[in-house]
Amino acid sequence: MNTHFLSARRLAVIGYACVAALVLGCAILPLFPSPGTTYAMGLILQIMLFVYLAQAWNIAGGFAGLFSLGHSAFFGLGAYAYAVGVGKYGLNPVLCFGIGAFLAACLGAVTAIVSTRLSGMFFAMVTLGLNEILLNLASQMNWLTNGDAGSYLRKQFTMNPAAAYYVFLGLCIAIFMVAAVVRYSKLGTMCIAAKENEAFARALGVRPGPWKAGAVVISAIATAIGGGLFAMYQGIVTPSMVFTFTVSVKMLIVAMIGGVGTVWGPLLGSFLVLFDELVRAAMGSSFGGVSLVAYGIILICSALFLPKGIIEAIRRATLNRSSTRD
Amino acid sequence: MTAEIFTTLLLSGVCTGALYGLFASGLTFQLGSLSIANFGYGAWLALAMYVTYFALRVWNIPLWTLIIVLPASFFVAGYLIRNFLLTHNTLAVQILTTLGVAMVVNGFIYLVFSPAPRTLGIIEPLFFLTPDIHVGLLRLLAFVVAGVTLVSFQLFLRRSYLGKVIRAVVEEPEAAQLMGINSKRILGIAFGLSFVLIAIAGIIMMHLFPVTSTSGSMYQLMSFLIATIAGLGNMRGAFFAGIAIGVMNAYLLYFVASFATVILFSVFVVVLIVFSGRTAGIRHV
Repeated sequence: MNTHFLSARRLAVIGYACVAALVLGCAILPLFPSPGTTYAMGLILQIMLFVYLAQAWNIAGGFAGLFSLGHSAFFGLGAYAYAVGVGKYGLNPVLCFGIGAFLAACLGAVTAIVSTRLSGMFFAMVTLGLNEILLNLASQMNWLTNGDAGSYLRKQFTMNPAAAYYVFLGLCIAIFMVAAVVRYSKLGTMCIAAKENEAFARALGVRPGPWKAGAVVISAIATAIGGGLFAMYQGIVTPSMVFTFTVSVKMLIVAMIGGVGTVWGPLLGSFLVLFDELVRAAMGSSFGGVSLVAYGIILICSALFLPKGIIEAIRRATLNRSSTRD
Repeated sequence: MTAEIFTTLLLSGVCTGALYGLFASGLTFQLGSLSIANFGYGAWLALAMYVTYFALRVWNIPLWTLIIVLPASFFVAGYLIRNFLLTHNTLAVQILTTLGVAMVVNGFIYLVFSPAPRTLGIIEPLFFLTPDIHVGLLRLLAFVVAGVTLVSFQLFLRRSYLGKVIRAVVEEPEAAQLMGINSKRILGIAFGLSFVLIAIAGIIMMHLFPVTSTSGSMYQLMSFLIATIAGLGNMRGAFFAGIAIGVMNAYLLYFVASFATVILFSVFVVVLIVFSGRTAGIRHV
């Protein structure tokens, strides 16, 4: 019997082949125009956005262990920086992305400082509170953000869906590279050491603070860029669209279902977004809450049976196979 | 601002704040004593409010039946959730599970009740202390009910056998198990009791405030805010913190209505950071 079939090395090769096929498939999909393709592209765009955001969350929440529930704050800052900067003050779009990234980095630094004093649930609650503050500011500061009515963008500052599709594809590839670099660099190693056992890491002479801050700032900047592009794609930004708990929860759920703190976890979790969209498309009109119920049940099941994500199950399968090899 | 307005705002704030204290006390109990971070708290509160509305206005169930049935069914729900879903104890898994439960509850609300905003539309009779100082009678009633509920819950935990057992399990699950207490069952019962508090709060709140599909998350943040200011697990503290927040909210709404929430949550963040020492696993029932 060929027991070598699923060795870790083979699995890695198969995995990379699958990823390459996936990227290639996504890249050439728009070359076959048909109504079905247009629908698929919209769907894939949605998935890519959340895979990107989940990976950005994963850099802070997974590698550095800072369980943030307020990443939509960074997302919203990026989106509003673009929408207000371009739409209201007519600034250069690239500059607006820079402003958004800078604001998000500052907020990220603040949350990193908070994380040195609070951990776990309390840190999560502070991030939740910061997001809530920004939500209310955005809906009340009418002179800047046009309040709950939202900031509109003129057509020349938005992207058409085809361009957005390729931009998000590139962005996804880029964020996975960034995540891999972070994970296998000194930064990632230090962060994971501090996450797994902070006291021990300190005893070995690691100061966790600056490393964690680095991870959070990278994550915040990546999220803000995602937010800016989201604004560019949607053409309108309202407070309840970006500064919402739903966005932060979706990010962390995609990462957690796939496997938190791993490079490929967010990609595996993306099936959830697909599932959500398909259920909503199939039954959303007649049964409003069905997609929420189905989503919730998936979450509960994955928390009960796969608390460390899909990637853990795959790993376990390979380990069993390779240990019974001889 | 005259003294009359000042007093009226104060009274209204105290009464509403007591209600805040009541709906935060369940969360305080869950977080501080049972060490469960329930991110589905608000959804259950919204569910209690929607059920109250439909029971009274659509299904024509008398109020006293509702007062018995709703807390009882919430108790069962809490017991089942604790003992079948929340058996793993890491924070991430708890958050994932409770969020999942919240989504199911929200979906249920959408399916059965539709997300339209609902209000019982009761015009509150006012009680005039002097010609210029008044307080709503329903609010006054809410204050009394909240106070009585919290005091009796506190007495139950301190004096009754079951309450003592709960405290023992919260303190040392293993030692309690060795003394012949079924820790798992007791924790389930304790979690169920916190759901009873949610049900009671929901019934009263439906009589005072409208409910929308998003009000759950708002109340949840509010509960977190009050629970942290009170010190987790401190139920008497939750009552007073609720009153403090209620009074502050009343004045903020009067003076800077549009930025009330911003100021409230800034206070929340600052309190959390400044008193971070207090959050390090305080456990007292």
